[in-house]
Parts: sequence; C-alpha cells; structure tokens
Amino acid sequence: MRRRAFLLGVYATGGQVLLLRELISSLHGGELIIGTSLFGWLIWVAIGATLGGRSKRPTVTTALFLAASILLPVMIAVTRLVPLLLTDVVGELIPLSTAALISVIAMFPIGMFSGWLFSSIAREGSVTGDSIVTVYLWEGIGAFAAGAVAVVLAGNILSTLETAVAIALLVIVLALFTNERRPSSRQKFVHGIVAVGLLVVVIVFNADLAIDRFKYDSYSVETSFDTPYSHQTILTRDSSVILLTDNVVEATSPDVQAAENLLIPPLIYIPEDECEVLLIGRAEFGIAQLADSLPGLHITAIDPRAKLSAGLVDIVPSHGRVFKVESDVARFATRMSELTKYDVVILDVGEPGTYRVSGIITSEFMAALKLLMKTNGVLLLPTRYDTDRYVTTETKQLLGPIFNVLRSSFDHVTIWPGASTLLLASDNDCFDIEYDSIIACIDSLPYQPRYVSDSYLFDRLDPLKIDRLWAALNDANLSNSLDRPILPHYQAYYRASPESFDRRFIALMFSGRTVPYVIGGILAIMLAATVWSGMRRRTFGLFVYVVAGIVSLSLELIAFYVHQSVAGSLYSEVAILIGVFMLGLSIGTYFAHKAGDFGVEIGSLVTLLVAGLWYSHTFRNIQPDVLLIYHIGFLFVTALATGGLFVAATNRYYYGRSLRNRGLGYAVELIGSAIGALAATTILLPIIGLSALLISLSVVTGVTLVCSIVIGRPG
Amino acid sequence: MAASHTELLPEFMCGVENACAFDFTKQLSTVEARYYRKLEGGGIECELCPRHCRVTDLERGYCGVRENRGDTYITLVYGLPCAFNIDPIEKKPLYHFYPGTAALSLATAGCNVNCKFCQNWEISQSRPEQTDNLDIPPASLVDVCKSRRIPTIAYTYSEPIIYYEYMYDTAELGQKNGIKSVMITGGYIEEKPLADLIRQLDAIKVDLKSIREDYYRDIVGGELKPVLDRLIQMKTAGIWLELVYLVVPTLNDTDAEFRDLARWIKKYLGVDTPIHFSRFHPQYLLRHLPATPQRTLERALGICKAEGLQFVYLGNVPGHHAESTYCPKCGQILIQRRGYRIVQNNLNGNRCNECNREIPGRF
Repeated sequence: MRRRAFLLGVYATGGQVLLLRELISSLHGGELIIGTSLFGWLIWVAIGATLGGRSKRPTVTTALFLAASILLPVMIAVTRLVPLLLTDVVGELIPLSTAALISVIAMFPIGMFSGWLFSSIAREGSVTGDSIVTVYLWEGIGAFAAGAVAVVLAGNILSTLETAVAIALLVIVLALFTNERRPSSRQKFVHGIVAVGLLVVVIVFNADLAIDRFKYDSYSVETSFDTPYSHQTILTRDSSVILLTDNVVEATSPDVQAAENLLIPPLIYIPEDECEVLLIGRAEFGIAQLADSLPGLHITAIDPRAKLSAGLVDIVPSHGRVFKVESDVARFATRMSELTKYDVVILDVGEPGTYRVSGIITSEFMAALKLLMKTNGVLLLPTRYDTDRYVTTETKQLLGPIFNVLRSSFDHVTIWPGASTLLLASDNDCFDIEYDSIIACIDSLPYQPRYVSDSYLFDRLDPLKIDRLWAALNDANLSNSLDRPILPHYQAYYRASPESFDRRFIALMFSGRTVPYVIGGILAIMLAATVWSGMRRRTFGLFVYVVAGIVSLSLELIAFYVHQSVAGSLYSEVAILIGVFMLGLSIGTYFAHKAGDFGVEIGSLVTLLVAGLWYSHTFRNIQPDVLLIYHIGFLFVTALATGGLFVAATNRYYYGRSLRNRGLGYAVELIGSAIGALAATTILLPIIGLSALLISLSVVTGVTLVCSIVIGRPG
Repeated sequence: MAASHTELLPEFMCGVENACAFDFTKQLSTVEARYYRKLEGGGIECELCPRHCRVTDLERGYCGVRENRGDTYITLVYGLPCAFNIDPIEKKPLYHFYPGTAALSLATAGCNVNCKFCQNWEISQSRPEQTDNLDIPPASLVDVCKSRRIPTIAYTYSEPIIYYEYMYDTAELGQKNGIKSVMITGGYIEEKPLADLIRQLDAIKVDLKSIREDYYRDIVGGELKPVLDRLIQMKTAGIWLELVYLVVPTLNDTDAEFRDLARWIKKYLGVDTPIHFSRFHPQYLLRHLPATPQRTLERALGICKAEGLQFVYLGNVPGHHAESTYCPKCGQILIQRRGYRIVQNNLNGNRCNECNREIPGRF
C-alpha cells in the first residue's frame, strides 16, 4: 500500500505540475491562471476522492493507474490543442476569463483520477492496517520525488509532453509491481502494449513536433522544444523566421523595422563612437545584423534560454559581433555590476502581461540595472502600445505606471510616440535635443536607417503627438512594483474587447476595492458564527479549517509570484515547489496525527504566523541565486504547519465523534483553500499589494491563534 | 473632466482664432441620424449599412454610436472626434491624390465591422462613452484647415460611415470653402447613402480586406459582396479611388487570392486603379500572428503586375522600388517616395514629363 501511495504521489504531482506548465505555455505565458488551476485541482481531487470513497466496490487500482497514466500525456496534448477549438485563427488572443475556465477544466481528469486513487489506496490501507495519514505521508514523499524529477527533466532534458510520457511509463510499469498480488500475464501484456504505444508516439512520431505542425499548419515548423523558462516553437514562412515563446510571437526575422526601433533611438543620445550595449532579449532577430553595419557597437545580449540559442543556430544566421550571455538577467546584474558598465541598455522583454515581465518593470529591478549602466548611460524600454494617432485611457493605464517606474528610477525620461511607443531614461540630461539634431545624428551613423529616419520621424515626432503623450503620462499616478504588480491586470484589461466580461470584472476589481472587505467580512462572520456557538470549543475547528486553507494556499501562490517576478523560472521550478509543499503537508499531517495533542494547533498557528512575518521581512533581500532554496524552505515550513493545522482542526471539530464522516470539515477546508487560490494573487495582490496581503494573512493567523488560546482545548 | 485641448495642441492651435475653445467633453450628441425608417409596431431599421440593424427604443445599432430614442434614430458622435491629427496624405495611403500634402485626420468611436486585426481597435470597438472626445463641430474643422492651409480633411482611423452625418456636413461645408474631403473606409455601406456622400467627397480609399467571402464572415464580421458592389459604384461615379489590401499572414496571402484580386480589379475597376499592399502588424485579437514578411508583399506585387495592374504599391517598406510611382508607358519614375516623404516629383500637372502620358489621380 505504501508503494502505491508513493506512486500516486508521483502521478498526481507530476500530472499537476506538467498540466500547469502546459496551461501557462498554451495560454500565452500568463501566470494569472495558476490560482485558478490550483483551485480546479483542489475541486476535482475532492470530487474524485468523494466518489472513490462512496464507491461500493473496491476499485482495482492497477487498472485505474493504467487509465490515469494514459490520460496524462493525452491531457497535455489536448491542452496544447484547445486554443484551436476556441479561436478562428491560430494565434488569436484568448481572453483571461476563458483561459481561467480552461485552466479549471483541464485539471478535471487527472485531478479526479488522483482523488479516486487516493480513496482506493486508503481503503486498501485500512485492510493492511495502514492509517490514512500513512497513505498521505507516502503520497507526499512520492509528490516530492515527482517534483524533483520533473524539475530536472522537464525543459532541461525532455519536453513537457515527453516528461508526461516518462511519468506515465513509470506509473504503468510500477503499478504492476507495487500491487500486493503478483501481476497476471494479461496485465503484463496490456501494460506492456500501452507502454510501447506511448513510446512509439513520442519517439517515432515526435509528438511535440507533430502537434505543432498540426497547430501551425500554414507554416513550416522547424523545431519545437521546451526550456526551463518556456515552450519554444520556431516557424518559417515566405523566407521569414518566427520565434514563438509560449505560443506568442516573440520575434521575427528579418524585421528591420523592429531592430531599428530597438537600436537606433538610444544611440542618438550617446555621443561616443564606441558604445557598449546590453540587450536584454534576443539579438538574432535583427539587432545582430544591424550591429554588423555599426562598427563602434559592442553588443552583449543576455537571455537565460541556452537551449534556444542552440536551436536557433541552424535557422537564423549567426553574427559573431554579439557576445551572448546565457543567464537570467537578475543573476547577471548581481554578478556583473562591479565588472562591466554599459552605455546603452535595451530592455526588449515583451508585453507586461506576465509576472516575469512585470517584475522587470519595477523600481527594484531598475535599481539593479542602473548598477550595470555608466553614469551617462541610456535605457530603452520599448513597448507595443500604439500612441501614434491617439492615447486611449487603456493605453494610459499601462504606459503611465511604466513611465512612473522610470521616472522614479532615473533623473530624465523621454518618450517617442508611434505604433510602438518607446520610453528612454537616463541620469544624464541628454534628451533635450531638437528634431533637426536628431536627424543630423541619425544621418551621421555609418548605417542609414530605413524606418528611424526623417522619412517617418517627421510624422512620428510631431510635437502634437509628443505633447499629447506627455499630457497623458503626466496624468498617471500609479506605479508598478514588486509589492503591487498592476501591469498584468491592466494588460489583460487592455487586450480584452471593450464590452467583454474581462473588462467588466477587472474594472470592478479595481473600483472601490470592495473585494478585500468582502473577504474580510466573510471571515469575520465565519469566526463569529463558530465562536459565538454554545459549542465553540468544537465549532471553532471549522474556522481553523478555513484559516488553514486560506493562509496556506495564499502563501503558496505568493511564493510562486515572487519567485517568477524575481527569477522568472517558475515554469520549471514550480514542480519542486509544489512537490516540497506536498511533502511538507504530508509530514505535518503525519506527525501531528501521531502527536494528537492540543499543542499542535497552537504550534502550527505560531509557525504559520512566524513564517508569514519572516517572509514579509525577507523576500526583498534574497539574491536570485538562492531564491529557489529560500522558497523551498519557506514552502516546506508553511506546509508543515498547514498539515498540523488540518489535523488540529479535525481533532477539534470531530472531538469525541465518529471519524468516518468528515465531509463538512473537508468542505470547509476546501472553501478556505479556494478563497486562497482564487483571491490571493489573482485578485488581492494588485489591489492591496504584497505587504498588505502578507500582513492581512498574519492578522488572520494571529486572531485565530488568540482565539485558539482563549477558547482552549476541545472537549 | 474637461481638460483644455490647448495643452495638447500648442503648435497646432497657435494663432487659430476660436480654436482654443476645443475641449474634451463627456456629452454625446443628439443630432438625428439619416437613412433609417420607422418600423410598424415600434423600433427603427437603420439603412445606412448592409447590416440593417433593427433597433428598439434606447438600444443601439451594431456600430454602438447610433441610438433609438423614442423611434428617432440619433447619432451620438456628431462633432465628437476622439482622434485628431495632421497626417501626410501618403499615410492614408493615397498616392495619387495631391502628393506631399497634409490631411487633417479625424475619427470618432465605433465601427460597423469587427476585424480581428484592426489597427484602431482601441477606438473602433469602443462606444463613445469609453473614449475621450473633443467637441469640434464641422465649421471649426473647416476653420482650422483654412487658417493652417491644410487642403484636405481625412475621415479615417475607425469607420467613417458610422459617423456619416458629421462627415457629410463637414465635407459639404469644406467643399464650399475649398477644402477637400477624403474617406478612408471599409466600404460597407448601402448604395443610396454612398451615392449622396460621393458628391461631397474628393477621394475614397477602400480597405478591401480579402477577395473571399469566408474571410469577411470569419475575420471581418461583415460581407464581401456589398463592398465589391460599392467599389464598382464608386468607380462608376468617377470619384478618385485607391485600394488597400492588408496582407495578413496565413489568412489572405495565397497566390490564388492575389490573382483573383488582381483579376477582379482589372475587370471591374480598371488596371489604372492603384492598389497598396500593406504589412500586417500584430494587433487586437491577432496579437499572436507574426508581421507580414516582405517576401509575401513582393509575391502580391509580382502577381498583380503580371495580371496587368499598373499602379501596385507596397506599404511601409521604405527604400523599396514599389513605394514609388512609375509611368506605365515609358517606365519613368514619376513620384519617388521614401516613407511619407516625397523625394522627387517628375509630374507635369497630371502627365509624365518624359512621355506626356496622362497619369490617373488628382495632382
């Protein structure tokens, strides 16, 4: 039974993290769906466990494992293809609400199977004398193993789909040999056929490539692979190379216009002939080609996706004059700030619809970046917002915070309106240049630009347009920060159709700030209802369930957010973070159950409180190099305390009663977890900010602790 | 909030009498719309565009800017542009219409289709309450043009048909004052309103989005046939007409489509009708499609030339030979362009200064 529980842990957590990766990638890199995915997971596991528990006949878990294993790669493939069903055109935007719905539904089969298997294995355990917490403990150990394996395999050695097949194969084989009985010849045959079939699909037919070829049938798909940061597809069509990152066009080549927009404007404000340029982004798609015509430039291009560099070698011609650094930019900034200083820094990081990009457009990151710049250095932040003909309120909402981040970090900021609005910043007073001088400067370059030239600039830099944009930006008072990341939500708002549900929901979210009060109100009512009851010593247990759910899920999602904003590598590392969280939960549950003492409740609440407060005081100061270890430690401790709290809540609420029916406790815990999963980062973070969110969680934990002490032991 | 527009337009408005009175306004207009009929039993039917929206009381048509108020159909955007610029006429693009001149360009919110690639979706898919609108009646627009010596007003960006009344009255007033009017449109309009409007206009540029009906249905949210019918109507009426075809990768860029397009133009509009192939840039709902490769545009150019079209242009490819105008007879470069600039003009009036061949257009 223990081996089966371990196998379930491997399957469930492997499936969960791989689906999460696939959802992030297929839904264009947006991390806002992590909360909804986890919510979906919790719901489906609960339903699966309930149905499994109510089943009159004991389930044949070997067969269930086999079916579940086949479903894992199938669901990855289905998730990858779902955008085709929802849109008329491949490459069409998927609204946030639709993406959230997909993320909930996608978790259905694997979540249901995981829940059902847990019930079945627990039932088997009861026959062999193992308690449910033992099953849970071994499942947690399996979850940790799956997380550790997935973080090593997925993106580094195998793709998401290949990793899913690897896990499926492991489960298919081990399901035979972890049974109490010896497998029959028929079982061996069936499992063998399925395993071989999966291998053939992945290896012989190269399933990743085949799916992308089906999806992008109007293009020639050159290659398709995963990195620890994203899913990459490289397409060609009409002599053009297109780089897709998480199914979003990151760059095309040749695209002279885009390359000139990145390289020429900052050079206007740098008088030196020799110029050190740091490009945060890919150089292969135009910058490197331009650099060949600008001999005074020394370009360093930084991007952490080493596999992508290798993948592009045979597709895009290489240019030797660009020095490539395969590192995460935050790590690079901390290591190199003493060694190299740059005249120009180009932040070509894409739209701020993700935490990864939002984390870059913050004063915290700008401060790190400034360490890499010479005192008269110029930063270019290109955006994809069109301010050529008008500046709408929605554009203002996005450009305003970006502008304010730069204004708070640099002494001087200037703007270039146009179809792609550019923001330039420097501590040097270099932007006050007349139009004629700008043109003269461009004309003096060894390369004559086609787009960033008088042919277009007389229209683009029309004083009317510049003044209109200045007026719009000067109106803006919000800023984006690590503490309060508003850009991903404003980006979702901007990209949504004007009459869509997304716009209405996000507008409602930001207007009046009613959501925090509603959640606070619900908690207060719950607390009051449980404490004012005549049986408060018992009913308070229900509130403990809710708090355990809310606080643990909120802290987990907060850790994900910070990790992605600072390190950008959540795509791969979410596996180990979820794995360690599951391990902590199971160990906490196991030992709390063994202890069976009222002190567990107090101890768990104190641990949660201290962990939350400690996190709020330390997360800003952690170097990117040790961020993963920091979050592993934090999540493990949080989960340990949560596991203990669940047991404590159960011991309190079900004190002196039958242990068989714990439906209400489980349901209440689910409500708490759902609030935490849906509300913490998706809704509350951009409204009240991270510090206030962490303080609120500490207050909730603290109040629960005080109540626990005052109310005393159950019974 | 009523911020003075003078803050935004210091250069532009300098010295223009009364121009400083332009303010942002939250008020919508209540001018009665044209081309609608009252339905028996209540409601109205709009007859401006082929949608023929049937609108009940206090509801709006598909365009979102025309509202039924007690069975009187009103336009909400009369005199309320949300976009206002001085553009080079080459930016429209109109290459055979007074090259090198400027056009006072304006638009209101709203549109009668919903192109998934719309460059102006921020205003075209919005309702007038959702945009920042200026209060500029037709007479003020004409005054600005006169005082700034801007020869043309361009109704552009979103779909001008949906602010028909504002456009019509301004164009009529402009005509009386020597100011030309050009409409940049998708051409999705009924025959009668177009016939009336053409008399007030000097040129029309039509975005012919595809030559396939299913593209109009799936990607544009409209119909192809009425657009083709209106193109023939425009040509027959003798107004200056240029076409733009936005080449969207994978959606309307096959050789067969380019060939069918060229043949249709040749048959119904004539080989001397200019057509511009422009690059798609990821916009609106098609954010995740790549920009059009230059090679695709060159394919279109080659096919149209081979089919005999005389004035085929590639948009936004500066330095390319296909952004300039050549004499179809002697091959002399007539108007050399680079971006929005005119580098060289070898026209003598509307004739080639080399072979004296008449060049179609307004020069």
